[in-house]
Amino acid sequence: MDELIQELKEKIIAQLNLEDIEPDEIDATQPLFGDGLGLDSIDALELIVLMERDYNIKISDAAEGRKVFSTVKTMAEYIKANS
Amino acid sequence: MEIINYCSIQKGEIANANGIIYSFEDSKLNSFLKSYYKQKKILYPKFYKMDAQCKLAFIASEVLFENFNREDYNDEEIAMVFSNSESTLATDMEYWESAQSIASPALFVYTLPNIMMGEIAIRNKIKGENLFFIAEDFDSDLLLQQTELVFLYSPAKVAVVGWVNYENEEKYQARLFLVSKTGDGKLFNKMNIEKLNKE
Amino acid sequence: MSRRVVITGIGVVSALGLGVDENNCALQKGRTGISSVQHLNTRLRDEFVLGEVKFSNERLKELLNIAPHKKVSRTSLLAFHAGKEAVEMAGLKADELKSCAFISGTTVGGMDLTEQITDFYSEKDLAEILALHSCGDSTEKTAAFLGAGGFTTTYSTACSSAANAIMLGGRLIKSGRVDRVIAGGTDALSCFTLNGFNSLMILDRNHCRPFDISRAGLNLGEGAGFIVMEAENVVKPGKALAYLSGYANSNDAHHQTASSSEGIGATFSMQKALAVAGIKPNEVTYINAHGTGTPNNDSSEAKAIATVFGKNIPEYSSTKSFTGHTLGACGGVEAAFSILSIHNQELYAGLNFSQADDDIESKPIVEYKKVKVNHVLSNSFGFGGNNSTLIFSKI
Repeated sequence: MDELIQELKEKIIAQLNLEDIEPDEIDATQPLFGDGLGLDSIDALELIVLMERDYNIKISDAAEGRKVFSTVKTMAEYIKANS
Repeated sequence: MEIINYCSIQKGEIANANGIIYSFEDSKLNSFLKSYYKQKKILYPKFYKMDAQCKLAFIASEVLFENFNREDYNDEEIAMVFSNSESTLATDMEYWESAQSIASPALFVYTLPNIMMGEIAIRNKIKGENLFFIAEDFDSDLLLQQTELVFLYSPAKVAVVGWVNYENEEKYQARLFLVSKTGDGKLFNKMNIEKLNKE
Repeated sequence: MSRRVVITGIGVVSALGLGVDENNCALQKGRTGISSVQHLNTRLRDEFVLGEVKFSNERLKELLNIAPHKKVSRTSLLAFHAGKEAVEMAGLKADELKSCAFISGTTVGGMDLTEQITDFYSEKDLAEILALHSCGDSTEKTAAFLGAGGFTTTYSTACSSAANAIMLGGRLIKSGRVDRVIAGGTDALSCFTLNGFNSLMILDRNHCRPFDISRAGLNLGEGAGFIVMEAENVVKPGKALAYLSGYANSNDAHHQTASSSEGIGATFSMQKALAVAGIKPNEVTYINAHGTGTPNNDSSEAKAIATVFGKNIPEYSSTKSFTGHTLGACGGVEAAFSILSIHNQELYAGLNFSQADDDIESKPIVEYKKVKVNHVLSNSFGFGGNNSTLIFSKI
């Protein structure tokens, strides 16, 4: 799980062009949206692309996405549950 | 109409009306603009999500708005009149590549050229008239005429006017003017436009 | 000099059919044109319903006597049909067309053809096809097809393109620069657009439900809508259909693809259009809403309508449940529908609506009705905050 979380942090940074942020600066349980990393709705869509391309998981609607992308930890748990 | 500020970006150099204010040894646009962004501590993370052409427009507008008293104007009193020849061709191609497997939404939203004005508007809370023309080259007559019309027929008192064109990492050009409706400083006319563009 | 702008001809092609009569008939009967994909060559064909024009390119060419081997984009073909109908309805003569301006709005241009090139090196008609790619090419080809020899230009402001084209046309006449303008827009479906909208997850796999609480997105559509506008002093007897009495556009500087939740930009454009028309909000009979069926647009548009109209919200509906979202053409297609509404003194139903959002008090109309119609307001809101509003009025 720790490995997956680290991997996810790096992928999120790359996918969303979060160039000024290091993986260590992202807390696995901090909310990704809202104030935290300043992510917006387009970022949420890019995370959906990331899930499909790298983990073969299709998220079919925005509401489901909001729950999955709550934190890095919830993302990792979802991946583990759906692999 | 008076020119209150000017910014030109090309070949790894950023200049204003007084001359070159920044240059970077690597003229490739992304690294060059990133170094300026960091040096000026602009602190606007959305910058990194923009495509190359929008980054170019954004940085040029940041230079333009330096020392500008934004609070003196209502949101509707600042207009934008832009032009280029590429439209968003570079991003169109990147997006289309991505669509062959999984289309990227972040690239798709940048496939309309007027989005560069959108980015500047969001950053500076600008809600005035905005126009974007696709033209073969920088056309002073077109830009002068349209700016004059915007001042005549809309609440605008100030306008961001110019050309932002990105072909690839080595071939790019931004020439932006911050123009005021009134004022007796350097006049916004063909002669002064061409003089600044030549330097 | 300020002269009134009179509409003397309309032309429309959409999922509802070729021509004003077919479209009007479907609108009156509440019969949608949205269906499964027949013509677009996309790998997403089984996943979505679209507002496709029910004719192949070959058939569209045949109906216009265009040789089948000739390379013409679908965007242009749709424009040829709609433009021709509008010009014929207005009864414009050759010499009048010579100085007539032509303004078209489009987002796709010739991309419906260019995107099908799989291998640039082996494509034998490469130069010819690439030459049709730009938005401006479909405008020039349509102007040439119609014989319109005056000022020509192209608008590409996403979903507000055709509305902005019509607005410019009206202003050209009002300012005395031209006596006649053909203005509107056209867009064909394309894989580029379908994939792009899909990546933004704003498409509904089922029929869209504008303003309904369960709405899940839009259905893409295609079409063309053009109107002929003439200065009131040159209008021929019996030709006047409606006035273009108001127009405005604005930007809410909120997000690349979303409207501000309070609908600030939409509020501005409606208020400014009313001011140009010189009418009070309570004089508007009907709003042809932008109403795409996305959670975001319909919510902010409904809020903007409440802000502008207060307690006197006019009847409104979105015809996108009939045609789908025709993108750059929607301002033109919906202008034609708004003018039909005035000419026939009728209002069209908002299909697939059952229940409004919890925080919205108003509801769209759900049935066709014959009523006295004086002023119709038509909204077209584009990505990037390009909000445009047109107002049409009874003669």
